[in-house]
Amino acid sequence: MGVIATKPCWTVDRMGFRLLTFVVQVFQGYGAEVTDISVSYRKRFLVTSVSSDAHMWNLVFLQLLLEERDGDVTNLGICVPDEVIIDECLRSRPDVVVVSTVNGHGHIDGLRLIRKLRAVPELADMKVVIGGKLGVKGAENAKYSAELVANGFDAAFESSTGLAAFESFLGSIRSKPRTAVLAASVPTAADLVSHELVAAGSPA
Amino acid sequence: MSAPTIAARAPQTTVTPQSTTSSQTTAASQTAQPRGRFSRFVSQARQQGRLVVQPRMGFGEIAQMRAGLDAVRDSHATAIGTITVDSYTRVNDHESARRALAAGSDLNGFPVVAHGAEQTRRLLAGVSGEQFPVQFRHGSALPYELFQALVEVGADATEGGPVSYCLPYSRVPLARAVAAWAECCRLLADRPEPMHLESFGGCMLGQMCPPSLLIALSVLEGMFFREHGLQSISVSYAQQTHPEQDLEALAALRRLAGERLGGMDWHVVLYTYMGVFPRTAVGAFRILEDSVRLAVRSGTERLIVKTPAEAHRIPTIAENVDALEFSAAVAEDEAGKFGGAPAPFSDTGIYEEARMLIDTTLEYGDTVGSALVTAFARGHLDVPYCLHVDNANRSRADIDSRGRLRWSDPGAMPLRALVGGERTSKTSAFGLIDMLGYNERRFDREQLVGGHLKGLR
Repeated sequence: MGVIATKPCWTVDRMGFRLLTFVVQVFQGYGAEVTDISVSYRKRFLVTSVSSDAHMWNLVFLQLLLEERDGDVTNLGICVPDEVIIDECLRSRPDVVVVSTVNGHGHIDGLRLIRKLRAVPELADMKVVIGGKLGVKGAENAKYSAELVANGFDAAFESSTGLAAFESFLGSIRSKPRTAVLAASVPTAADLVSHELVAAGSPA
Repeated sequence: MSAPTIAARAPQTTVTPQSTTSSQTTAASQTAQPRGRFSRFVSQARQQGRLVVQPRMGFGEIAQMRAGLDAVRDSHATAIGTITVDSYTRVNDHESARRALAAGSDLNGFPVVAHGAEQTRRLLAGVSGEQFPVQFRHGSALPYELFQALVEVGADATEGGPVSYCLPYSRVPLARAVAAWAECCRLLADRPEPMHLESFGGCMLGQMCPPSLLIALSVLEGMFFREHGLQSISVSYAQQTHPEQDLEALAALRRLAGERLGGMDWHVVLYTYMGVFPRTAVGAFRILEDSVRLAVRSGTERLIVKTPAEAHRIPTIAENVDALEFSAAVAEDEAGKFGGAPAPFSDTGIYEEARMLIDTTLEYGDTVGSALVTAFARGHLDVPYCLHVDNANRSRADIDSRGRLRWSDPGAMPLRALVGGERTSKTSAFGLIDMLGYNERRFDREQLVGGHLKGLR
């Protein structure tokens, strides 16, 4: 800027002024953009289990993970009836709903939930993902992901090896708001703990 | 029932750790005569110096459930039978259980109500008896229908509790669960042959709950049971991360049960680790072995075992029998080594902390039930990490460098002075995963690293 300002030529100086103004505007705009990003980057997450699943540690882990990623988390906890999830979505309009389930009924309860949820016009575009042990068939559970996404989930993360797919999904929320991510055989955060936590979640 | 005696609030700054002592032997003699064949069996075994072992076992079909009970009865162990109830029955969805039975679908337990009292009696006939009592285990916050069926069947025993089956496993408001359990206790108490009732309070979320709160909740549930007419009960504790800490915890539980449940017929039951379980066979048997030795050294009467299948799937009948016979053999070995004398431990103040939690909780209400409801509403009792809306969920626990469970943040519980007042840093997501897998890593190392195999060559 100093270089431009020292140019004696009026036109250049004028150009320089314009350039400076432009730069400032850009920076102001960028600054505003940065502020926007940091404000809106605190995504509001709704974490929930499905109606028949009483496993809790996967939900505790997910909440911590999303909070560490600067999210605001409402955690509905275990055994959540479909209506409670839908009411909470209508009330608080979270940016993302993360359904975590490890009891093997995810492909049944999750399917019923997403059909009901998508039938509510206000929630047709809400971002909703599901992850965990979606069935009781181990590696064969991958087949449920396609069905769940076809019925309205934005992504379905069936368990196997790591957290990367869910993390990259979190990173993509802003840039690709409506891209359906089908990540069969790639686990969610919950999944990382799901397998081991089956025993830990059973009463009696 | 009159209001419970309210003891003075324990001073929070004058914890005086006692030297290595325990009052197990004196406390045991304070229990009343055994009532009912469940308690008689446990009492006889104790007199003979044998640990009672019990599986977790439940199948939907009558024939398979019967085969399981027969196998446990015929095992080489001093065993009590278990019928674990399925998930549908736990939430009173008996219609779904009936449909599953009709369709021949697998259930994860025995649907008592769907099968009905007549069928359940037939299941028990010829297998349960004075030498083989059977307990029904469930997980229901609202077990009225289940308990009605159990009364009709004439069951020997069941378990649970207004807090321990509400906060970790249901969305039922705590006040509602407390009211329901009060009625349910009455059902059991009004029966001519008393049914035994075990508190599940020693196992909140399976892991990461420090001993003092587990003990306090188990004893408080025991007092609740007494308030509602039960005469024969057991208090529980689940194996955690450090054997000596567990030994101290079991001594504290026994001492407090002796003090607060005087005149009742009671005993202590230990659960083999209820958290993330080792995946290797060696690791799984080793943690089971540790829990058996812990039971024997602490003078615990009854142990509920786990199997090496635990980390992977529902165990088979044979796997359950293996775990019971292995436990019986380890118990005999341990009893031979220690001769029944309680093992020493260094006192870290678990007894004082648990007693203070019990006494101060009772100040919150005229009955144990109302005190529990208000104490949780105020965060005076607060189960770490538990998401139930009636739990404050402000307290946090972690595992210290020596492997002991401790409060990292007691929330609003009156524990600061007892834990040294110093909060540790907030648990991270992966820090939590690390702690949840602490025992899994500890016990799997042996087989995964293979050191023991080298020693065998």
